[in-house]
Amino acid sequence: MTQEDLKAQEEELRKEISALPNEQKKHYYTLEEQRVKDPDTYAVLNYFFLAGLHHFYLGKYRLGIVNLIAMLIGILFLETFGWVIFVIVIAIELPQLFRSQLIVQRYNNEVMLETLREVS
Amino acid sequence: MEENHKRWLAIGLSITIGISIALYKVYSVILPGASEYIAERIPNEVYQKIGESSLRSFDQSEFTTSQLTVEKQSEISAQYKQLIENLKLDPTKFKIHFRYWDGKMNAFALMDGSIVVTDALITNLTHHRQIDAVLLHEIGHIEHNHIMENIIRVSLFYISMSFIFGDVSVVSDLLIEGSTLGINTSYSRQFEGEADSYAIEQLNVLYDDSSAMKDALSILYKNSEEEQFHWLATHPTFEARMENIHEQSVQ
Repeated sequence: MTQEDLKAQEEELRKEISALPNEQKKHYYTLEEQRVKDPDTYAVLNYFFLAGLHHFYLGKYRLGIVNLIAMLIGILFLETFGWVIFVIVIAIELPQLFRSQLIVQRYNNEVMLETLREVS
Repeated sequence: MEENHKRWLAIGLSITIGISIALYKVYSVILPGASEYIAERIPNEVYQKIGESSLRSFDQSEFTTSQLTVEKQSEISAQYKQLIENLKLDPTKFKIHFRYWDGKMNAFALMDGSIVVTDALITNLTHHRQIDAVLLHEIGHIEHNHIMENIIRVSLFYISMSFIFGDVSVVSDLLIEGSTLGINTSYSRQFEGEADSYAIEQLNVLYDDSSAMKDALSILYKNSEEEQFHWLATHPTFEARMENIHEQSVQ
């Protein structure tokens, strides 16, 4: 899905939210504020320490733990094969830094949809 | 616990674990490796100049001329020369200097490969093998290039800490100075252990017996008040060194 598609999806969701009765709308926005994520924070956590912190930020604990363990093994065995793990982690994780807007937008749309279903 | 809090807790824990392991790695592998690499590439002239100026500086501030007799100095010099020959080391590099230092018992290596021994050390050590043990310990420092490596390690650590904490407050200065003192002490203890091991190994090769090292250390520690502050001392504790000697002897 492209950025435009995701924006269009968000617009659709916003229209549905506007149609909600005032009480539900208020409840929705309270929940949304707590649940949506910031793409810039995601990006910073992505490159900081290469430890999979961005996965934890989006609640993907298993992926985060795998990333963290890979990074720790990489550090511990840096002088032998550790650097290879670093290269692999960078090759997998770095593209997500450049796609952070898209990834977080998709995540936020899913959260908005779930919250909308929960409220209505 | 709220989901958001759980996520930030996971992030905080990951950062703590990651930074701790990274710092350990920097301390145990990266700094020693980098300092060894740099120290090996420093020209001999630099070692010579620093060694000579260190001795000159000590002579101006701490030392006075040795009060040992010329005969005693010649005897110890000959013993040292023999030791260097036995170890097949370069005799032009390894020199010995005798100094008086307010009755203090001490011996230390300088960067140019020379060793300074104080009068009190020579007069208090009762057997020539005990003197050999101390000299071998100092030769161990020179052979392992500990002095230059230590300076480089601590400098690299200081520079790294300055990068992390910046130069913004008294707190950062305290953190940098404190951690630099800590790391310097820790590395010094490690170097002392290595020098002890070198001396024990060589005593075993030369005499098939390393007990002179234990005897020399016992005499040195009896005359030192350093143990009262052993947690900040640059040398390991007496017990730790004795344990090291015992382990080496068993091997």
